[in-house]
Amino acid sequence: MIAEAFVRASNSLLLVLDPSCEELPETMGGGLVAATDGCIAVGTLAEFDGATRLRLMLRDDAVVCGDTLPSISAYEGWLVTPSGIVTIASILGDVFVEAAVSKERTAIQVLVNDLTEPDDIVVVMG
Amino acid sequence: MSPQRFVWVAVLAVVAALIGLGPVAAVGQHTGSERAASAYGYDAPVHTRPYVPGLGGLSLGQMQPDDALAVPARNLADERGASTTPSPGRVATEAAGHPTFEPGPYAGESIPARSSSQTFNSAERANINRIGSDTGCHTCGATEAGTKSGSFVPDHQPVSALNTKGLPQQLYPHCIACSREQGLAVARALGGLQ
Repeated sequence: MIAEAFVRASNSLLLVLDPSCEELPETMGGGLVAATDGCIAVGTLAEFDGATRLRLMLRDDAVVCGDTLPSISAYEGWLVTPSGIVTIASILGDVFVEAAVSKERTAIQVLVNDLTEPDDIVVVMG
Repeated sequence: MSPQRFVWVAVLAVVAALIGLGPVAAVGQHTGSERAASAYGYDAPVHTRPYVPGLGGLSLGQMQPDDALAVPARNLADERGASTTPSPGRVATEAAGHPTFEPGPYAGESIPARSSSQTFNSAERANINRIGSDTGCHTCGATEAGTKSGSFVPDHQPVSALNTKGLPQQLYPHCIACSREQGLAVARALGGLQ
C-alpha cells in the first residue's frame, strides 16, 4: 500500500486527479462517482457522520490484499496524468494522499464498501 | 340517458380533461426537483417532495383552469434576476454561477452560523434536522437527507470557500446529493488544485 488516511472530506467528496487537471466533472449526476479524463470525484461518508478510510494502492498490492478490500467496484477507467502524479484531495485542494506514476495515463479502479456513502475507499492504480 | 344529455356529459368530461389534474399534480410534486436536476445537468429527479403550502407550486384547490396550461408560477432564474437587493449569498452566485451558492428555492428557516467552521453542536444539528424535515433541502426540497444517519448537512450560506468578504453566514439544511454537487461546483470555482 502506498498511503492511507482517515478523512472527513469537505462536502463529503474526494477528488482523484493529476495536479495539473483543469477539467473537473460538471455534476455528480446523482451518483457516487463522476469523472472526466483528468479527474474522478468520489463521494464519502457524510463528513459530519464520521471519518472515511482512504487507501491508495498499486494493483499488485490490491491483488495480495484480496478479500480484505471493499468489494464494490464503483469506477474503472483511465486517468490522464501528465504531471506523473496521482493526488487524492479535498474540493478545497487539501491533499490527503498522493503517489508518483510513470505514465501519462494511469489505470484507476475505485473500490468502495457502499454505493451511496462509503466509509472505506480504496483507489487502485495500474 | 338521452342522446342530448349524453353529449353534454361528454363535453363536460372533455373540459375536465383539458384543465387536467395530471399537470396540476406535476407542478406540486416535482417542480423543485426537476429544477434542481436541470440546473445540475442531469435528468431524473433524485428527490421528490409533496406539495407544501407556501413553498412554491399550487395546491389543487388554488388552481384555476388557465393555470393547468401555464408554466409553473415560480422560476428560479427569474427570481434571481428580479431581486433588486441581492442577499449575501448572491454575490458568490453571480460570480461563480451555481444554484447551491445561494439559499435555494426551498430555503425557509435558517439559523445563524457561529463561524465558517465545519463544527456544529448538537443543538445546531437538531435544528437543521428539524428544518430539513419540515421544509426540506433548501436547494432541491428533499425532506430526507439521503444520509445513513438521516441527518441533514448544515450548509453555510454564503458558501464559506467563496465568502471572501467575510459576510455573516446562515445555516440551511442540505441533502447529501446537493452537498456533493455544491462541493464539485466549489472545486470548479476554485480552479481544482491550481
